[in-house]
Formats: sequence, C-alpha cells, structure tokens
Amino acid sequence: MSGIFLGRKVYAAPQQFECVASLTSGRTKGRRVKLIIATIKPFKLEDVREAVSEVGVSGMMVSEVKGFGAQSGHTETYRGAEYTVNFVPKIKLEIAVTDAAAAGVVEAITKAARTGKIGDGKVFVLDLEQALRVRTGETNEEAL
Amino acid sequence: MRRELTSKLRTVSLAGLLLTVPQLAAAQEADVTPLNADIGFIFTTFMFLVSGFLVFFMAAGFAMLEAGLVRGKNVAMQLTKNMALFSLASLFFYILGYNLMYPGDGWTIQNVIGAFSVTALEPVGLEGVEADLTYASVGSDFFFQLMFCAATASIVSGALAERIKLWPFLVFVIVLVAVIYPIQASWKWGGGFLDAMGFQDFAGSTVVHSVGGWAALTGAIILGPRLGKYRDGKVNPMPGSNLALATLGTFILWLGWFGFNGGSQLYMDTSGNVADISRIFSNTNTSAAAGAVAALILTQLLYKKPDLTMILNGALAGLVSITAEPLTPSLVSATLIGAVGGVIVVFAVPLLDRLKIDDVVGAIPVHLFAGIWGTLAVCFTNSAASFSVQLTSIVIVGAFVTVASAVVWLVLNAMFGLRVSEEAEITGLDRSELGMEAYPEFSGS
Repeated sequence: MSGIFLGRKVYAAPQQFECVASLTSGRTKGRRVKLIIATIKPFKLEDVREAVSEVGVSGMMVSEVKGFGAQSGHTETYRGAEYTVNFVPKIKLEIAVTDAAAAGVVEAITKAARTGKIGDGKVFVLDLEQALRVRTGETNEEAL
Repeated sequence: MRRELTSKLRTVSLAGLLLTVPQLAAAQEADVTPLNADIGFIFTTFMFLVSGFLVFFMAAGFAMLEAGLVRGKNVAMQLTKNMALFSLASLFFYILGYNLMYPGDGWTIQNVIGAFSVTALEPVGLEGVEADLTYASVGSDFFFQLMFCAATASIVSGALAERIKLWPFLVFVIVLVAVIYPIQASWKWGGGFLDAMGFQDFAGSTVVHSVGGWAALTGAIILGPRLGKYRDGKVNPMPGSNLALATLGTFILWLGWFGFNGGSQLYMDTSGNVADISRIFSNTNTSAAAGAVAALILTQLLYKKPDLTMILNGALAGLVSITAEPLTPSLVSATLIGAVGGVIVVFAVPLLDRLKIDDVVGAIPVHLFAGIWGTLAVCFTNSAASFSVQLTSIVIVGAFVTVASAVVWLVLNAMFGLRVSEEAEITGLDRSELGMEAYPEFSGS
C-alpha cells in the first residue's frame, strides 16, 4: 500500500447498484465497462476535464480528497511554528467508460495532468461489474 | 442665564419682531456666539466625544481580531466575552473606576489610592454649577476615559481565548476595570506618585497596554496552554478561523487609535493644541505602517513566506510602541519606533511558544513587549523623560498588576476553576458553553 486517500466531499455520490437490473437483463453483455479512478493535482482539474471531453467522455464524478503518496507531506510555518502537513489536497476523478475507450481516456488524463513534478497523481483502471442508468434501467455500455 | 434669554426672545410677538428687527438681529447674534471663555471648553469637549467614540470602535476591532484568530468552534464564545467585557467595563468604571482613577483632591491615600465614589455627571445644561471652562465637561472626560479602561480588558480576552470559562473571566474583568486598572492609572494620569516622579506615558503604552499585557500574561501562565498546543516538545499551530475578520479588526483598531492617541492631547482650545493633535495622528499612522512593513519583511526573510497574522500583530505593535509618546517624534523617529515594535512581535511570538505560554492572538507580544519598548523609547524624543524613571515606572506598574492579577486568578481558580473541561474544550466552547455556533452551516456537526 503506497498511499491512502481520505474522501472529504463527494459531489455526486456513487450509487449502490441494486441487483434488480442484473436479474432482468441477465448480464448478457459481459464485462465491457471499465472504471477509471484518477487522483490529480487540484489546479489540473479543468485541463483534465477538457481533455477527457475531447476523447468522448460524457460524465465523471469529482471529489476533493486528501492523501499522501510518493509526495508525502510538507512543512508550513504559522506564527513562527513549523508544522507538517501529512495529507496533501488532491482531486479524485471517477469515470466509467467502455472497454474500448479506456486506454484513450487514461492517456488523455495522463497527458493533461502531468507537470513532471512529484505529486502529479495516479490512475487506476478497474473492471466494472455493472453500470445502470437509474432513469431507464439501461445497463453497461448503454448506461454510460 | 443664556438659556433664559433665548426663551424670552422666542416669546416676542411677531409684530414686535418686525418693528425691532435691527436691534433683535444684533441681540441674537450676541446670544449665539459663545463667550470667549466657552470656546476652548466647547472644542475640547467635542474633541473628547469624537475621540471617545473612535476608541469605542476599538471594542469592535478587538472583537473581530479575536474572532478571526480563534478556531471556528470558539468564535461565538469569543464574541460573547468581548460584548460582556465592554459592557461590564462601562458599568464598573462609573460605579468605582472613574473616581478611583481621577480623585482630584479626594485621595484616600495621598497619590496612591484614589476616591471610592460613584461617578456623577454635571447637571443638565450646566445649571447652577461653575464649570471649569479651562478643560472639558465631566461627561466627555468620563466617556473618553472609560473607553481606555475597556480596551485594557479587551487585551486580556484574546490571550486566554478558547479555554477559559466565561464567568470566572468576567469576574476577573470586573476586578480589573473597577480596581486594578484605575488604581495604577491614578498613579500617572490621576496625578499620583508616578506622575510626581516625572514618568512620561502620553496615551498609555504602560498605563493601558502593558497593564492588559501583564494581566494576560499572568492569566495565560496560571490557565495553561490549549490542549494539544505543545506536544512532544513541538508547537502545534492552531490556525485562526477567519483572517478576513482578523484583518478588518486590525484596521478598526488602527482607526480607533487616532482617537486613542489624538484625544490624549487632552486639549483642543488653541491652534497649538490642534496642530499637536494632527501631528499625533500622522505619527500614529506612520508607526503602525512601519510595524506592519517590518513584520512583512521579517517573516518573508525568516520563513520564506509572509505571515499575515504577524503583519497584523506588527501593525498593532507599531501602534502600541508610539502610544507612550506620539507627539514629540518626527516622522522618521515614528517610523523607527514602530518598526522596532514590529520586529519585537515577530521574535516574541515564537519565544512565548518556546516557554509554553499560549497566547492565542499575540496580545502579550503586542501589548506588553511593545508597550515596554514604547515606554522606554520616549527617552529618544522627549527631553522631559528620564530612562531610569521610565524603567522604574514600568517595573512598579508591572509588579502591581502581576501580583494583583495573580491573586485574583488564583482565587477564582480555587473557587470555580478557570478552565473548561477537556471534553468542552475539544468540542469547542460555542457548543459546550453556549449551545450555539458562530458558523452552524459550516461545522461538521
């Protein structure tokens, strides 16, 4: 475990996916959806949003989080007293994409978020068990 | 007498008025022009009223400064303390303080303990009294002096924030404003023994600011630091909740200081006095600016980033430093006096932390250390001041206030306990002691 992240404020909380839809649709389309989780420097959020929009991403979840990784913490001074900031503020993105689009989105995030300095962040790609659009009941690729 | 004449003139019939226009015009003119002897009295009184409400506004300055520098969970309590202490000072200064501070010929112990009596104002319209027209009205003098007394108490509240119980603090404030402050103030401003020695303290670097500072220092030592402030030999900073409020508070204090120092000229009855007041305004402003700039530059050099809270303290230290003598310095001297004040603060804040004395808003460096500096600095520009007399007076006032404060703090601690419980302190005084919060929409609860 090279780092941990503590969520503070979730703007669009991920839903607990119910089993109702999977029972009706029978998961016929298989695992064709990926979840990309990325942590980036807060000032890069707008660049990343533009970059992933250009490669066809139509939605994402954004949270303000704090954590540490290779960057670890840093020291600040307040009224003459030094103190360590153990958890660095970051932005966490969660983007669900089709299997085919995943590589392109990861590349877009990486390009847009990179400064070359320590603390640029990480990207994780996970298989997504299921996606479901609440309004219509569509699942997986149709739900994105 | 002049009132009677006015009312008689008003009752003259319209016809009579038309017939006697020239004479009446002359009579009215003579009536509305103040007598020469009155003019000085009128201007000085007016000056005291304007200066008095400027110094009054410093209560708002202290409240905002402290609200900004305490953590969000203690803001409502800090505001409650500021509101209560000013109001208590207003009551107890008239009940006891004013005549204890200005006994006139009525000393209880000559030049040491003033008169024990309730303040009485002049009758309405000065009817039936021979007012002393060489000075100002009693009402304006009382109003002006009261504000200084309240400022002294405000200094204490900031240093002891976030951990002291409300009621023991307020009892201390009553003793401070009714007894401790007036007695030592009488020694200088009431014409007591320090004044006779030749002690110079124009507007109160020692009489007001160091007194608040000594009381705060004694209290901070007896009370102990906030939980978690000093852990494993390290200082754990507790950043203030709102630096915008702290900055507003500092600017309000800066504004109020023009009344604080300017009004302490005590007379506005001659062109010389008016010129002196304007000189005081200019020096006061310059010194504050120099204190702020000194702290700005020094924190940049020492910590690689400027520290706003230190810059705010630096401006206030500049103001305290010039308060003992805002009249005689040139603008250059005022700059240097204020800048040294700013430097003192930047070094004194970490020094107190090293001694594990937790002063939440920096009141002790600003009001006590810069107050001592300002009192000694009088010697550079005012030939009437003697270094040994200044130093002796600082020590006498410091010893008196420290001993008196320590006795009161220790008695209160034994009777009621000064500190809130550990749980209340961690929860925050707003919720635990008041049951309300300054920022309910933003807190995690």
